[in-house]
Amino acid sequence: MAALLNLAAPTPSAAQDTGKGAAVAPDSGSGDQGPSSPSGSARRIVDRVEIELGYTYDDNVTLGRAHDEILWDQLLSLDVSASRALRVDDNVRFVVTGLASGEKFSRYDGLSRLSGGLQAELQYRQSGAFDAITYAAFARGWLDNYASHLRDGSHYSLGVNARGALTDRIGLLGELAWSQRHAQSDVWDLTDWSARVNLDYSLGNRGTLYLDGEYRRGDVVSDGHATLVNVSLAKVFVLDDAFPDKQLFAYRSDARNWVSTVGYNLPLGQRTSIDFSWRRVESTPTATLSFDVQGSLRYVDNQYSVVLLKLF
Amino acid sequence: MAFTRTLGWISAALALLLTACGGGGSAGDVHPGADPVIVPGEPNAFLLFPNPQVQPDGSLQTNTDAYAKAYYAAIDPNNTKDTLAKWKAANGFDTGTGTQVTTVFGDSRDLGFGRRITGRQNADGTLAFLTENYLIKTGGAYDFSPVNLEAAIVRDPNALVYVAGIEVSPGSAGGVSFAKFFNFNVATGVREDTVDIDGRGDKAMPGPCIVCHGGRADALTPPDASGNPRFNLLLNAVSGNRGDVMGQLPPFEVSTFQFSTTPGFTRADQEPILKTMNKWILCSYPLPAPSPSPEDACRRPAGVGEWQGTAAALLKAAYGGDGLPNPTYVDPPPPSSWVAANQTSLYATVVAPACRVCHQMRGTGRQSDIDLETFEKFQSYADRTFATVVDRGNMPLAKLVYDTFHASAGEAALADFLVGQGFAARDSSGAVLRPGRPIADPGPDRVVRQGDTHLSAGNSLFADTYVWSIASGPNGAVPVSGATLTDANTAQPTFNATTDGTYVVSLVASNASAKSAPKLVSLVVQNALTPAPSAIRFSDIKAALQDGMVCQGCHNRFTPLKAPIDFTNYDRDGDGAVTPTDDAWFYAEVKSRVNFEEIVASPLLEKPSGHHHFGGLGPGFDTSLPPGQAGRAKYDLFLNWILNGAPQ
Repeated sequence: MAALLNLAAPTPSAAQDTGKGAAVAPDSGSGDQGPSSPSGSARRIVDRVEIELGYTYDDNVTLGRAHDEILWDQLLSLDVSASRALRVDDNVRFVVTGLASGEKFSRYDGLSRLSGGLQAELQYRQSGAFDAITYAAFARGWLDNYASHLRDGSHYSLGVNARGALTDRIGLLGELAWSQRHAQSDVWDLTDWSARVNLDYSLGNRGTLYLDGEYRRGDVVSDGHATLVNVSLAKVFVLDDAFPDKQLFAYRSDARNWVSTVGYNLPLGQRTSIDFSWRRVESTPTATLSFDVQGSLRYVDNQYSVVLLKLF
Repeated sequence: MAFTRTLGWISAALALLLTACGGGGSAGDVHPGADPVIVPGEPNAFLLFPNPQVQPDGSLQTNTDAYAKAYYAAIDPNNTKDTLAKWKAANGFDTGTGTQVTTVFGDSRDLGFGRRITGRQNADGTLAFLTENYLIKTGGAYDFSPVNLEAAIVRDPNALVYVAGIEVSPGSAGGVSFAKFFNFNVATGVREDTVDIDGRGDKAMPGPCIVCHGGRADALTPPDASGNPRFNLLLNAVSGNRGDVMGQLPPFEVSTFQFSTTPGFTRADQEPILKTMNKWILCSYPLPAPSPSPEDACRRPAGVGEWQGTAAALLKAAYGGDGLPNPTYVDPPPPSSWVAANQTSLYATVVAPACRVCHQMRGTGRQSDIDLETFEKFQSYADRTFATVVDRGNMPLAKLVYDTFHASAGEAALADFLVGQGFAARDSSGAVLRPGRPIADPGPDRVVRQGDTHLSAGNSLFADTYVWSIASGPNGAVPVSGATLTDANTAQPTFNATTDGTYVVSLVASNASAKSAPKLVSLVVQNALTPAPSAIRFSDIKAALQDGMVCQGCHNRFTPLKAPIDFTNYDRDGDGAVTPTDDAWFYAEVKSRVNFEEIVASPLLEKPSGHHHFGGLGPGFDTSLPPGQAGRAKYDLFLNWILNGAPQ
């Protein structure tokens, strides 16, 4: 259940809103068991603190389409979350999580950011039975401060999810969410809907394998040159201040996005683990261009991450 | 209820997040599809004639549907070309006959479009050019972008903003070929009366085309027996057709174009096509004198009253001279006059990029100052250049050229030239003056009678508030006695004098952000003036025009001088008799030479007073004399008629 309960990390968080995915948190013990397992001490300010220190190689930070629009970078990330569960009754609890996050890019510092936010989740679980499903509704809000001024702003999500155990090894989570982002530039004023499924396969002491698949429909931001194709796809574009020497324009378009993650979480102790993941984002613009285009309109981004997770 | 309180705090925090951050857009955001932003108070008279034929209701006749309908009725009386398909068929497109070529380039200098032009020369020598204009609207000015060129290459229908057809062919009754201008709906192909070339609103055909193609835009006739007005007839047009606006085809100035790197659309690919088209265009130019050059064999002799094919010199120079030996276009050096005057920099920074493309299509065999081919001609137009470029902002003619000019070294070069010619083109700090600042115009100096004289600030620019005052009375007397000014803070005050003499009235015009310098006008009060200004009618004007042979000696349809207008009475509507209807048409023709937007620039005043007039200075039109003098009595008569609205 470790991965299923890791709701603190924001999903769409990175510079182009393709963000690196949530890694699997190490088992946090009884504190994360759901409403029927209320939190322990009422005196503690928070029940759970989680720190993630990660490295990611991203082969297409621009989410570019053409060869000369694709730029790679690598980044270090630090995410801290602290949550507090409030018991409502035997079946319902309310979890509040404070979030802080930072990313430091190596080549394109404009993509670096600091973010802070809050998440509130109302969870319902019918019983404490092993196979009881936990239903939840959540709201999440962030403030973003990028080195690229154009990206500065906020984003928030509203959603529902359900999680449960299929077997003693397999956990499943399904989630529907609506997200919106506001930024200094209209390019990053984004709205999308997403449907996500996460499957954890526990290897016992040897860790957890997980698969995460998400379909996201809505706005996506890419960088590219001022070509007819890009301009025709764009709802709005701006000269991107994150790539000052590249003369790249960031543009928003409507797209169908498939985001898939494969990962492995290896426990390093009771409250520490290391997580390896490959996240692939594939975006296909929904617009039908009125002229013939050579090549595909599809964008692909691969992110390879190593994240060290620590629970307190 | 801890839970409820917590939820409230979270809701408040989320609301704060949403309102505090982001939104509003950045200055650099570009929203494709948005039309250009027209800034109130800035010049916006682009692609309009300097004299757009202001009508009594304030509308511009050359920019009305009626004008376009009359034009199409003149060039296509049977509506045989009222759709793109019909027009193409009539001109032989895609029939395998004649010669047909297509070029694609970016018009980065003039209009900003990606252009796909299919041109053809038919076996009978007639020409037709179908131009598809592509533009990705980005909300700013109609600026050129390489994506416009890309759109032209792939023929992106979403970026197709207008389709123009130009043919050079005889009129419906045959005769000499002349240029005809069409505009077709991009979706339906139906011929349209208006076109929006620069995103600044629809303008009536053929105005926005012919304004730079050398055409004239005289007023329509009053309605004929059918109830419809007719397009003007230019008597100096060799074709003799209504609808022959004497427009031409400018050369393709290849060096100003942008080309793609896409195979098939590179400059190297396009040069031979453009040279073919340029040779065809050269064929359409009248030839002022016999030429042994083979490329001139297709040109007909020029009539003395028409354009003399001036742009041929540029075309030939660009391809290496007579014989057009060079395969590619090279921007030619400044003409020799400009070199001799040591004004090559002025030519290179001002005339070549901002004036030449339109001005080289103008002028006639009798008077060609306006083609600016020599420095002396340019110099002779310094006053109009100052008025149109520095004050009015209706030149350069197209917004893109206007913007480019004012961002270039040409702006300062022109200002220096104008200062040298005695015009205050820089302010007291030395900064170049730009159009958009309030300009007071109380109207020209004039002679009036005692009693009420209605003044108007209507020719002022970029202003909405006016303050009039009487600066001095007869013999410079201050304070003034014998005259009053009522409604002095309106655009139309009334001056009333009870004593003869010269009064100087001052006008200051302002807008929300600036105030003009005072502009003075002299009102010479002569109570014995006859006729009274308010009593002048067209019959008085006609009598002056027909006084002896001074005007009508040249301005008649029988002389070989081929003036554009006939000042005699004749059967203008062709009904077999000279009737009051003909007089009404005559009136319209004369009134057509009045520019109510800038009265002093009216050809009816400018030409006989010796400005760019083959006939020179006419008797009674000497404006070097003060108003009221016998030597300018006719000028005063014409001026007072115009100031009174030029009544029939």
